[in-house]
Amino acid sequence: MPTPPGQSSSQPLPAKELGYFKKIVKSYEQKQYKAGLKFAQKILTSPGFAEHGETLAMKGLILNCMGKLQEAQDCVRRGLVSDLRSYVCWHVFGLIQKTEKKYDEAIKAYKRALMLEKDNLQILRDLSLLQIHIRDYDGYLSSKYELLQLRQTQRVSWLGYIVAHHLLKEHNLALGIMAEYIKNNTPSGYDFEFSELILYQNLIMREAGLPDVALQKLEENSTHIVDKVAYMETRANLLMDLEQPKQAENVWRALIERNPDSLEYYDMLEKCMGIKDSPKAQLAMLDGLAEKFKRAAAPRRLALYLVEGEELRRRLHEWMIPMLRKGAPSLFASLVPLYKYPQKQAVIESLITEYVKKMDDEGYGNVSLDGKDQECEPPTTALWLYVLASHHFDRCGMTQLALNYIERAIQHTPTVVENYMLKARIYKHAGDYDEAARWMEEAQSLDTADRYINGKCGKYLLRAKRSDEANKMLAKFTREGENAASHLTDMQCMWYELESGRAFRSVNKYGEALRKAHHIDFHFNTWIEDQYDFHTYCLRKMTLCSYIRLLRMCDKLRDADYYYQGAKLAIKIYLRMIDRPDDMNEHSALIKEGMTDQEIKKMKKKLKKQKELQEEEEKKKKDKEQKEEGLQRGPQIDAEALLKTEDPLGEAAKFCHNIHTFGTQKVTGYALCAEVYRRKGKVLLALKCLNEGEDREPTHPLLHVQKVKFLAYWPKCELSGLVKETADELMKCVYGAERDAAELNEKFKIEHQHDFAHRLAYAEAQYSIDSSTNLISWILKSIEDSKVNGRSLKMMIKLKDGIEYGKYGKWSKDDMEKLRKQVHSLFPLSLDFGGGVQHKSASAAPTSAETN
Amino acid sequence: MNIRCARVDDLMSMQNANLMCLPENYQMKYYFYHALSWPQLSYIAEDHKGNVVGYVLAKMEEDPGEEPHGHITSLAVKRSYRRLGLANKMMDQTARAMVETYNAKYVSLHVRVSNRAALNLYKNTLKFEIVDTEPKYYADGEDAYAMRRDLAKWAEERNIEPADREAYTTAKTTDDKKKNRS
Repeated sequence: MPTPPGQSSSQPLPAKELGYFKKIVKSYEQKQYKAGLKFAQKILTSPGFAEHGETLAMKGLILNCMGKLQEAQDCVRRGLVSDLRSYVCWHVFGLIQKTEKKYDEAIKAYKRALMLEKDNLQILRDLSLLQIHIRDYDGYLSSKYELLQLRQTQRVSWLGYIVAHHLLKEHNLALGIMAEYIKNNTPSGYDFEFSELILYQNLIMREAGLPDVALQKLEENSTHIVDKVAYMETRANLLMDLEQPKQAENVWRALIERNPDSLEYYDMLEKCMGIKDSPKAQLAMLDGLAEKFKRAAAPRRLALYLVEGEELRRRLHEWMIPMLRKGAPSLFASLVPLYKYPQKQAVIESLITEYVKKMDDEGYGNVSLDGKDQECEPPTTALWLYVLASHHFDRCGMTQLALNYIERAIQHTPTVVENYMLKARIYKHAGDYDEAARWMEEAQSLDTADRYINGKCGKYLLRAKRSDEANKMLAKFTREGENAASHLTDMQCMWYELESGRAFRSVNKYGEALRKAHHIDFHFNTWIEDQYDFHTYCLRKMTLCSYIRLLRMCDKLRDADYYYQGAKLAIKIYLRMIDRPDDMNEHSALIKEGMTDQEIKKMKKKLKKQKELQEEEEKKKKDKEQKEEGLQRGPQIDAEALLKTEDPLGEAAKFCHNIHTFGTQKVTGYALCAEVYRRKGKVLLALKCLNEGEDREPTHPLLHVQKVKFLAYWPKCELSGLVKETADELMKCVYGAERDAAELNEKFKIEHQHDFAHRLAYAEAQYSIDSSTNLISWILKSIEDSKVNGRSLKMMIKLKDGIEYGKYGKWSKDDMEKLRKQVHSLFPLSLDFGGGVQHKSASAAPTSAETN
Repeated sequence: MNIRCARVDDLMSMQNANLMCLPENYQMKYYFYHALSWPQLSYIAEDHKGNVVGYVLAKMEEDPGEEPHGHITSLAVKRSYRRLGLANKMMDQTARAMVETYNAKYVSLHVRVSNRAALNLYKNTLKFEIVDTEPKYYADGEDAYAMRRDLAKWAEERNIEPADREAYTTAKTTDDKKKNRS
């Protein structure tokens, strides 16, 4: 017989107090926390029971549910100390540890509780949940085994035990138990849960490498399976695994009939038909299906990849004309993937130019782009054609042409929101973020009810460093009376966290920028935490295939791009703290060269005062917010505290750990981690990252910089034993026989002299190994050299930032002016290089650059 | 655009699209809840890079005593991907799964009374009908139209086999209709 709580204690309660205790437990279960606390107080004030362990434990548990975490901790600890023989005290102690995310401690506590009270179902369940949560599959299996022993009639006991075996890759055991369970539980009619169970059984069979058994069972149970898509996709894949392409082909065709816009089906169909290498056969297949499914876009769009020249022209014409007539703003989006191929891009351009010419020659009131005289184009065709042309030239980097066309579109119909959005986008690409934001505001004002345009507008304002206005804009779609930032954080809005973090960085508010990066990290942690409830839920719902997917996704959740971008933002700021500590003072940019010491002192004093005032104000604001909301929601991360870290490199390494252990796909991610690990002296980790990078893209410029830096550092490494052996092995993989950093760099220069990014990488690496290098005029020449590819505005801005950081030696004022002029002539609209649209009103007032 | 059933792995991208397009947002756990309760019902449209440009987040209403019916929790297509018929195509896939997997008789949704673009899409393209107005449905106090699209006839015309034919054909559709109109 299990011992009920309250009697397990080494401090047994008399009848009256025991009655109160039972009421505490009941109140807790019914979430009547206040009542629970009242009863607890009654016991704790009775003489001799002030330190009654189990009562303190229950009180702590209730406080924990009420969000009073610290008080809860204290209570539970006190309870445990005064009654170490009580399983209740240990169980509650475990639960509290769990909310603190101290999982190992929690598991230990649960196990202590189970030693005192063997076979307690609730504790066993809690234990098993944490075990699966931290992926202790062995532990999970043994807990599930005990639960099954104790409750053989419960379905979840069986399922948990099967899942445990599956996760341990003990497929045969899992399948054996599954077969037993199914034998006794096959329903006669419709049963969603059974359908899910059969599909799960099938997943295990496939992972066990038993496609023939899987197919047989799948077909046997076909009437039970109500997830038709899963049934058909699984069956088709199995038929392919079993080399029955003819039958598989039929199933893929049936799937296309259901959903002719799923690209995967066409891909699989080509595989089954064995026509992957024959464009002619592929085209015939696609054309046949396009004829059959007239509303489907996929077969006609896929065909565009397969043809060139005249044929491409004809097909593009057929693709574009109806969309121009219908007025689909998405026409350009549908063509974007073709821009990867220069020949296809040329065909698109020639078609657009031809249409425009026709419009110009014949006037858009009485022209037919088809060449069929009887039918005239509707007036909007011209509008969407100009929009398309503008998109096209923007994409090709021909800013002026793009602007000309968007002007024509605006003149044609001044009320179309998309026109202004595109105009803003062109200015953004050209580097005039102020003008871009201005036009996005214009677009927003034309459709204030649309959140998409509102968000874009907020983003553009952030890019223009107008953070306050951005927040005001975004607040139009967030909870009333609350600032936009905290609402968007509450809603886990990643694009906002990232963009606003970058905006803070651009105005030297590194603390605030770091805070945003930490928010992103916080959101990912929350999502991993969110799994917890589903460990129970999915066993009940029987949605086990999806559940297994959830587990596997969570194991690699941080390879998402947003995580990488957030981590990169944080890591680079931490490195900046080390390399350029003065930058962390957000006003350091105001202290200019040529100021006297006196002036600097005065300026610093003034700034300090300003800052104190500002801080006071912010504190007031924060206090007010706190009062209004009562308990604060969301991440409590303080920007100032982040800046004050004693160990920026250690903080950076935490992010690196998440990037590289969760397996990013990005070569740049590994390069970044290699930098941090090298600085930390973690030789093996640095080498492993270089090696991973090498596997992905060995000639990537950022990876190259790290390779050179590491090779220069290598002779200083003092290693021995197994570490040395492993390091030597990795050195061979990354560098082959090369051991000279300068030589490696020279080789790279010669091999990649026609690429701007690679040239910059060479220069940065060279400066890092030899500070007496002077490559300034070589870099300046590269900017003007038409034989050098990839001289994009993005790269120019990277160069400028790199110079300011000190990556490319010491540049004089004259050098910087040369750089500015050269880049300005290439990108006349770029604000970073003194360009941009001049406004009459703005020229009268001082520009923001001057007031700085 | 590629249209396919949404998997757990797509939810982050769906949440992102939702935050860009609509004022009603949800934390990730709510997306998890959908994908792990009704894995067949949510659909996405993705671009060539795998970004979600449109989605349907859907569920079943499983109140005992009511006919089984689907509900569209959220539907959005990014502004720059409109007029490609994506919403229509995704909704048809979702509706089909509702019938095939859960025996749904109809599918319901809510829309802001002021959102004329969406109303137009639901009414004219997707063939939903307004059945009711729910006052102050939204957090900001706006009313919602409750809309419905009948699936039984639609499925029959397309030879879509319901999960449980017997229950599907014997249910008391007429009574329910009366009840809902009153």
